[in-house]
Amino acid sequence: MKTIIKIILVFLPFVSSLASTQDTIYVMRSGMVLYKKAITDIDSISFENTSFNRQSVVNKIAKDPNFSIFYQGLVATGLVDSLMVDRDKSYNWNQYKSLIANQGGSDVQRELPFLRRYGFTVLMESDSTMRANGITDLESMKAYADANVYNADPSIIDVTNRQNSLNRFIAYHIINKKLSISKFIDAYDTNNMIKTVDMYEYIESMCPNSLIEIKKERSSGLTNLINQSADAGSAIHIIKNYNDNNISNGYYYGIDKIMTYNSSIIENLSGKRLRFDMASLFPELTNNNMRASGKVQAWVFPNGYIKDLTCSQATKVYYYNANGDYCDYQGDDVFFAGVYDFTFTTLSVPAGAYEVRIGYGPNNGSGIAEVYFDDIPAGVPIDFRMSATDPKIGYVTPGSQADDPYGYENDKALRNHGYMKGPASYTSRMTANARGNVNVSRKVLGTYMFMNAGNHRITIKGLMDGTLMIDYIEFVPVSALESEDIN
Amino acid sequence: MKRIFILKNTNMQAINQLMKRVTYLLYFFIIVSVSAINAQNSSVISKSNKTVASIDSLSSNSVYKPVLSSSNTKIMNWAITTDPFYKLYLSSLTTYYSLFVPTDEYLDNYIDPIAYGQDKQGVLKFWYNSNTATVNATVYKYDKQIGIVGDSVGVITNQTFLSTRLVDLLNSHIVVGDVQSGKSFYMTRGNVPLKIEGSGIFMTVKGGADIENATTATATPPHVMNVYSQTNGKTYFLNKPISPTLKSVYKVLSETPEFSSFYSLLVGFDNILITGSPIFGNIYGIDYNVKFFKTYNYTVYVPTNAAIQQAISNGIIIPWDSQGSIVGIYNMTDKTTRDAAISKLERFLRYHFQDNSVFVDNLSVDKVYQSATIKNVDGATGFGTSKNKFYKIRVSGNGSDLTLTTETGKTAHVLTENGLYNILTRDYVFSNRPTSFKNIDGTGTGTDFSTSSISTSSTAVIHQIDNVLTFE
Repeated sequence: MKTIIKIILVFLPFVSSLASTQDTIYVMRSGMVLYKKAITDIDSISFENTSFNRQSVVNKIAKDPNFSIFYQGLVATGLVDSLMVDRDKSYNWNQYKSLIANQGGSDVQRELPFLRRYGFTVLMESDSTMRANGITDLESMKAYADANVYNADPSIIDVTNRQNSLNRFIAYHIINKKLSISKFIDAYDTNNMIKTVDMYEYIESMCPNSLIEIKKERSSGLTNLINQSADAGSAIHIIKNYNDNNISNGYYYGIDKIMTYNSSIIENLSGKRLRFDMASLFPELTNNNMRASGKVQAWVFPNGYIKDLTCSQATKVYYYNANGDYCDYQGDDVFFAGVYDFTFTTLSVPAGAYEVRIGYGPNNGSGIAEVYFDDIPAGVPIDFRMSATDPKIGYVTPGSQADDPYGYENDKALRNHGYMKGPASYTSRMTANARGNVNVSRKVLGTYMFMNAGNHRITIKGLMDGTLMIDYIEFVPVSALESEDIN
Repeated sequence: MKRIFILKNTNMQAINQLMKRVTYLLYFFIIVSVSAINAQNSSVISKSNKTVASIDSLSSNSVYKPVLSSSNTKIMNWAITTDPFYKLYLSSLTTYYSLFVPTDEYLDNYIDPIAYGQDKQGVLKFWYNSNTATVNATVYKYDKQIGIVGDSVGVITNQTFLSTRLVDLLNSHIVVGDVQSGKSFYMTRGNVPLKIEGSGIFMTVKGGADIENATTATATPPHVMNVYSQTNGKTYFLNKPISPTLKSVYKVLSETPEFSSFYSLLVGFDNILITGSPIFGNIYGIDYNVKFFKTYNYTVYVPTNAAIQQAISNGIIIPWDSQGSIVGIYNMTDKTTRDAAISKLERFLRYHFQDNSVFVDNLSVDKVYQSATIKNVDGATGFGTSKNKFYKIRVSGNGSDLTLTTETGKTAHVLTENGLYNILTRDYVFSNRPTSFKNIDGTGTGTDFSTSSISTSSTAVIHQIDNVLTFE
């Protein structure tokens, strides 16, 4: 066999060259040749259209006189350049159409994303807000950034350095997701969410190792509360006359206060449970109108489409959008099928000691897997097939036992086994809430000490064929475990 | 602006088409050939639309390998392969295991725990049936009063029966981690504690029953015959299966005179509560189980009889029966007062039950554990326990003693001088009451014995302490 292949390989270039050199590209208009080139001289052919190629949001910011001071910082730091990209032109939808048919199952319609767009949101203080805080130009903005938490290394004076104070100050205002006003949090407040429980959404900014918290407060009816202080006092608000249209690659909004990632915010974030919906980890799902799109369907992805999710070739990935039926946090979830082997990166988490958990759906078909946190094994292999009612997990529906009416004793038993019930903050059309749903569970991966703020990697290697649903990731400071609520 | 692209061939179209087809054929041939070669070399096998892959992180030289390779570990190999989980689990490189494996010829004296709770007891001799490639068990009579094995009375071939018994045994033989770290007690995957002495082929491995039997002159504990150092741990072949205790917490407390005062308080609920005792219940066990034990390992602290009496005298607890001027709960006439006293006593007693087994062992300890008493009010406590969480106990010691510190800052000490410490218990939960099955020898009434199974179990270590524990 090998000899035959060698003979073929010797003659193949000759035969191929005969065939290909005869092909030529002609571009014609009104019978006239506008362009002519042999195929061998062309790397690729792309069809460009203005409906595909959007302008940069920077074009609009530059023309808006209300934000001229911030714009100076945007330009000086060079961060303006990172807002120019619109889409990944190497992504060719046609190459992956077979994925739709090959993903198996048929419970909902499948869709392959047509484009791989980037998107941005810029939150900016207006010139008047800047001036009210003593910022009138680039130099005073530098001074403000130096004086307000960003001056970790005074020797870094190059403002284009990502560790420079001004650079970090500006970068904390930029998000690599195109967020319409509803997609800060309201769009995720699906029918699944219990309307009496406050909601939180976490967003990574382009300032390295930082986090932005968005809160929806039920008692006051306020939404889009940015980095509300721990004593429920001040928060940053988006000013009503925001710019929100679909022509450019991003949105920009005015905010009513200076936004910094200061010690007070970090202290607040490192003292509370951080629950990251899986879809919040991947900007591609927002920028390509999948997350909270309203479509009742699932998306399939070619390997590499989602930057912060790497998978083996054998792994099939689906994103199920919220439709009310799934008992999922925010209604949506991500499925991994096959002999799955994948790694995803979490949002940045402040330094500290945390208990890390994954929210998943125990199911007989979920497989057995090894889990790694930051590339270190998180204990023994996990049998995701195991029903939550198995004594080794021990789930009992709250309210079903007279001597444990609220299920607190059962909570303790589950935690002894390394599991927890689902939170009481969401539900589905068919169940009371996730806490009362035997098909929802949380697996405690372990307790970890993070010496520095940063992102973390979770790897799950299936040891057999399976379909594993992951809904969200939780980081809970050890100091907050004792007082943690059931939501 | 509209843009139109046309792919147009030159006038050598016919030749070009021919060359293209030849090229495609060659490409196709190469792809098929290479695919065939790859398929032979690939670790991925496609079968019936299922993909089974060799997993890089699984070791072919794991602790499971000696079991798979040996000709006299077929019974435990069968147990390991009854579910895909155990083979994958024991082959994973993410963890270090100590796997104990009784070889086939020594699996001949398994005291069946369900039969142990029946009128007639029995032991099982497991054997590998080469004809069916399964495990069977021959049943022998057994008298637990005198510990004598009698004649065979039948053979059990029910695979569910055999697999649940052997998987329970297997879980009592797996320790995650090393067993030669300097201490004596190690917890198995099945929550059965093992007492390890010696090392290598001089190692003995005792379960609770082995420790109890050590008092008899003829009893010898399981000892290691061979040690295999594997990629993810060590495999120890044993000359005998490790035998967990068959004594429940209830059994030990009820038959130990030094525990009688605490025991009396625990069982007094039955005489006054229609709903029965909140502590003990007949939850398909050998006798009575602790109701709030949930497939885990626990510690039970038993105050001396004198300490209980002192607590009664000090008004910390109210006894069931009146004592002198103290009106006992049974004699209270006001229902509200009586109910409050019952609740207070229950919460006091539960505070002596702690999650996690802590032994008087060779290593120092200092850690805070949860009790079984829930905090149902707001307010500060010594360990900062929140409402709806469980009161805690701090356990510290230098390796030869244990001191307990309560939420109120008071202390108690484990007493070691009378030998009433490190007492091992196991509360089984079966698929039904033992009396609901026919006896293991086929006599009696009920469903066939071979339909019985072990659902789960919890274990506890009991220590005598010199003072009562209070949380408020």
